[in-house]
Amino acid sequence: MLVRIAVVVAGVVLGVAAVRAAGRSGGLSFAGDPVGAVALLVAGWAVLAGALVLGRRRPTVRTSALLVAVAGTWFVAEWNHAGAGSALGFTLGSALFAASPALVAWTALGYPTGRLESRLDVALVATTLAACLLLGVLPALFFDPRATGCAGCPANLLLIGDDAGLSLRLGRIGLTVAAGALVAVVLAMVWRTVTASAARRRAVLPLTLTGGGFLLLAAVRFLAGRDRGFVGSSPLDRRLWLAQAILLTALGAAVVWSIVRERRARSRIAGLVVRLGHPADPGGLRQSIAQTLADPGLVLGYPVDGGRYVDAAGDPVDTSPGPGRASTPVVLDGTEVAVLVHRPGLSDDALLLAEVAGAARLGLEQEGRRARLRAREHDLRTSRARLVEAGDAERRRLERDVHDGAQQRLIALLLGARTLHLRLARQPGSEATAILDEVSARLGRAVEELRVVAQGIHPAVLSDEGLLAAVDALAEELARPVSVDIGDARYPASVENAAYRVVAEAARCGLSGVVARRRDGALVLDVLASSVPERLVDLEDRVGALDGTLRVREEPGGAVRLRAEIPCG
Amino acid sequence: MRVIVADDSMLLREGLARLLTEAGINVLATVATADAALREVALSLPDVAIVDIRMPPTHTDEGIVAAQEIRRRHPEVGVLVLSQYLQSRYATRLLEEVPERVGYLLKDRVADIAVLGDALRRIADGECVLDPTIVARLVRRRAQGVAEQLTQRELEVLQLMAEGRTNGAIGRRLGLSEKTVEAHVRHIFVKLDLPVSPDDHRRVLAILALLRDGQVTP
Repeated sequence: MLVRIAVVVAGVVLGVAAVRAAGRSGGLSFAGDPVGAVALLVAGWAVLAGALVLGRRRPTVRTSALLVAVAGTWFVAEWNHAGAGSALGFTLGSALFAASPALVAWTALGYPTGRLESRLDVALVATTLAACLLLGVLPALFFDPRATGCAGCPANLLLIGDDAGLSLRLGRIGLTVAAGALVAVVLAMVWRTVTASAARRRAVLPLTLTGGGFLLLAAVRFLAGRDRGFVGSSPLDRRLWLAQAILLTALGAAVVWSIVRERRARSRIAGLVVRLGHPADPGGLRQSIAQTLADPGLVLGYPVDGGRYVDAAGDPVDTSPGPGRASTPVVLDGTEVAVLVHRPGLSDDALLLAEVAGAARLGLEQEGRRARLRAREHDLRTSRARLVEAGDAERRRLERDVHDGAQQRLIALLLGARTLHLRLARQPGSEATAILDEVSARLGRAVEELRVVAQGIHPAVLSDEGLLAAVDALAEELARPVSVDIGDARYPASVENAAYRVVAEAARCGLSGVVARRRDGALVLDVLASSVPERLVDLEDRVGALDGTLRVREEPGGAVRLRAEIPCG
Repeated sequence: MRVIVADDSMLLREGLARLLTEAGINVLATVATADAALREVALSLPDVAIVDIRMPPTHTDEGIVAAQEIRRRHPEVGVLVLSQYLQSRYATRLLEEVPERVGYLLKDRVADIAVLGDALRRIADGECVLDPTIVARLVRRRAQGVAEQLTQRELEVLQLMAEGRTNGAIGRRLGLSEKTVEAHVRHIFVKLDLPVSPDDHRRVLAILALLRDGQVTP
């Protein structure tokens, strides 16, 4: 806090002092007239404003310091004239008059953290700084203002020996080198901006334009001053300087603006946190995050066993990025909690993603747990349905075996017995026929019993003809009349099996009526019996394994109604 | 009586053939597939061909298809179709296309030589035979609608008609004179609004349709 106050005070003081120094320069300084003064102050203080705003956040403190230096050298350049007043001021002004472009170059290349990313950048900035400092320092070593006939000029503290010619030559060289370096920096900045991703370009473009423009103008001024050997004060120079002032103001404004925008993004995140404070339904989290990141097509996936991903409802979701999308894992405490599939520009704004992940942390963990539970539920359900189907298939196979094996043999035996009976009937020997009669009768009963057993395992007519035929056959065996109202429609095998089981169980408890209809893609079965089936739990399990429901209700008059609704989808 | 037997199960084929032979029926050949049945019929022209409904390759309705083919190519040869269980749809299909010299029996009945012999004779005589169990099931299903309109005696006559029996046979079964049976039949037809037809076979169809669907197909 103290630092900030000190910077503000220093900035004001330095600015005002610079104006006064400019006023005393006798027309050599551009800030001598009111317009120039305003331009000088506004530019310098705009840069300072940017520095103050950046100074708040830790990552950008370096840039903040750089900007303070820019403002400082911008003001100090006004002491590069005879009216500087003090020797120190004049010396500083002479040495540092070209420093601000170099510092702006450093700021622009290192934005926003102030760290230079590549060796090339470091080389460029070092060269530019060196060129600009030397441009100020070297000629000053050999320049004595008093020797040029300026009696009221302050002394040059750096003076080694007066050699105006050498000073000019050094100045010329310095101007050329500095201009070249600045142009190189501008080229590097433009290249960086053009090849950046869309998001980064958005962030860096204002600085590139204002900073780059400022540097180009500086380079032009340097080149224009080559003939003279020093940067001059012609009307052209003045116009260029005013343009520089405008660009510098814009630079400061751009910095402030970028921070404002970031604050707005943060408040959106704060809004996200508030929204997340209210328990959301599954999918609500995805929506909140999508809104915050302004990416409506955002996909949010939670990892489950087996390397799969599911959404909040436990349904499988595809997290491969595909064209035009990028995927980013959300990692909290070292484990992957979720995966976001988003538009590519977001990957660059790592800060934003990290903030969103942090804000949504609790919600992500919770929803992730729920999603995994749902996915497991789903797996259990499919495995249960598979088990039931496997059981049904086994029964069908068993019935086939009984039918093709034992039953055939018994019928053949029966035929044999009847044949023998016929033959013996023509001959005397009634005991044989009597014995055969008995054998035939027993065989007949065995055939009948086996048929009933096979039907109990799995009625072949159910697979072949459907529920109506099977229930008809069943009803036929019963003593009481049963009213059967089932359409001809066929349903999936597992559904028909389950429905038949319900009817078969009810048949042991006084079945009196069966109604079956297809409604809304499900089989609705109504069975009337005189008591509740013993193995009701088995029936519920069977029906439940197919995602169906079985309800039992007592009807007036003591009858029992079983209603099964089994989806056929 | 000359017959051929077609069934893909060797046990049943041979067993049935032996039983029929013992009962005095001449078994010309036994075959295992529908194609072989058609060939044998063409070769030996039996009175009746006994055919199992389920035969290779699909084991669904090859028997019915073979029966229709036999009736089409050799109208003087009758067909008795044996089925494992009540498949009323196949029964009506068989009867709709070839209402004469055709029979449909449950395999359960096969060992009862009396029923089998009776069916074979009736088919050879040109009637159509429907397993009484099938008819009973159909009647029971439609019991409500039909029984309201008919007397008990008329219901019995209806059931026997549905089995494909002649008026004379019905009369012998119920202990009535043929004239009484004819009167009952007229009443039934009027009450149920059935088209009057002297053709025994057609009336089976009409009655079957009524029992199955609750309405008469023209």
